[in-house]
Amino acid sequence: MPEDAIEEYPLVTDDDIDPTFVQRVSATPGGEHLLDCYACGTCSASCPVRAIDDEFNPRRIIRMALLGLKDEVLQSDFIWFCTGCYICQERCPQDVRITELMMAFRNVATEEGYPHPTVAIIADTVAKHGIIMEIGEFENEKRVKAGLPPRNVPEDVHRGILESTGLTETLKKAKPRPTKDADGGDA
Amino acid sequence: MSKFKFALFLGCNAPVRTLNYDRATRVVLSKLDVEVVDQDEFACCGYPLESADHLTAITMGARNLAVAEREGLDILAICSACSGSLMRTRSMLIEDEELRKDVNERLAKMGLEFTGKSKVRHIMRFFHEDYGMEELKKHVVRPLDGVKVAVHYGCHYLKPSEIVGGPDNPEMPHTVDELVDLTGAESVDYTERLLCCGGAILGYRERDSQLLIAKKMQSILDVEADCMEMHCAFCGVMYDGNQKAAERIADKKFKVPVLPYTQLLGLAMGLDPYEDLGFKLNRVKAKDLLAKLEEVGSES
Ligand code: SF4
Ligand code: SF4
Repeated sequence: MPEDAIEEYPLVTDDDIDPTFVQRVSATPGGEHLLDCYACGTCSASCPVRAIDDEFNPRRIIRMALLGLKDEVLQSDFIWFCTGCYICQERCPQDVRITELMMAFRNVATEEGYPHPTVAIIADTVAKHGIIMEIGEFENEKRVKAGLPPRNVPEDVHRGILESTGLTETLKKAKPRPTKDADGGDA
Repeated sequence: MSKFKFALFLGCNAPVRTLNYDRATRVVLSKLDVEVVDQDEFACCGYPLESADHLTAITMGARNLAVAEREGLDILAICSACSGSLMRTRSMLIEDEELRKDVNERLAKMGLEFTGKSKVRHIMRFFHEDYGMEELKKHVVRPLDGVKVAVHYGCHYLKPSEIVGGPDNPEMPHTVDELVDLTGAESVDYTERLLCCGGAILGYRERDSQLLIAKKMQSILDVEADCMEMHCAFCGVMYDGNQKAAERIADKKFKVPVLPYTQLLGLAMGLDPYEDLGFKLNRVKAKDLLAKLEEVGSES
């Protein structure tokens, strides 16, 4: 292997591996079919994000998870790059249900204290306003001017749900995310 | 009394960021004698929080579905992320008794219950399957002859196919092409016709989402379409609202007008682009397209 490849793909050691990770993901909604992957690469070949972004590769993420590279997967940015387009899920010959699996990785990452910062912003806005943005007087004036009825979502309409599932609490306990080195080479 | 009555589900984006779509849809539906009712209590469908916590997202979706049930109405959605998410949530809750019990205990505190009574319809599936192509065609009084349209199916209108796909094959869908052709316009094929809008990673990997828009726009320019068609508020935010950002990243002007299907249909129904169909609110102006229609109109 050329030297730069060794640097980019350092050897995996026992310390990097958490043998319980596969079970953990498989027990999370969406992650049930993780073990069925036989690494054919159909997902990566179909993926629109893979086509434009070298840091994202669904087959590779699945391999990493199957190896038990828990920290590397959960603390990564790349598990948040999937657009949820479902192409891979439709085409996967093993019915791994990859789109849902990507959601499962994110759910586990959130539980373990590594939610993407955007998640906290969305959760906060949804708890306050019921939707992912605020509709105030200004927005409603614009609506009325456009011949539309004002939209008045009652405050806090979803807040109880986020609290009852524990999401609000979980997000409060988020840990600092590992920062990437300057060249962004954590993929 | 109108034959169809729905609870209109706007979701998060339509009421603030795609007012043109909201407007055109209401006017067109009213002309078609389809009654829609607004529900203040409808809020986020749950999709944006699927990434954070499955149960939270499901319960949010269930609450919306339960509100529709209370009103005794089916849901009509104009955002594919919403319709997709609500349909998946509904089918999970119907199939999984344990999950349903858990969710219903949470809803009970809000005086609501999910039973599965109310169905969820995406507006395009409603046009295609319920209102019916024949019936719809009767309303076309001003065919959009000579207009070339690049349709954007979008992901959650088609997939997961077993839940939302209807008669479409996700690799080779046809319903939207048929609905566009019905207006007299021509749906033209293009390479990136099935490409995702990238909306779901706008807040996570902005650059990629812009690259995806740019790729789509270039592909539409390549076939010289007059406009892009869309039927999802989030896709509208991406292609209309963020087209400028994509132009910057691609260092190229696209200027592709992005028309909600109901604007196209409304034009074909003879409605006024500005008075009725909210064209003033389109970010990328459709002036050339409207002028072209005027010309065709005055020739005939
Ligand atoms: S398409 Fe399915 S089986 Fe093939 S690599 Fe991807 S997840 Fe694994
Ligand atoms: S669902 Fe995600 S991983 Fe699968 S093809 Fe789409 S973007 Fe790629």
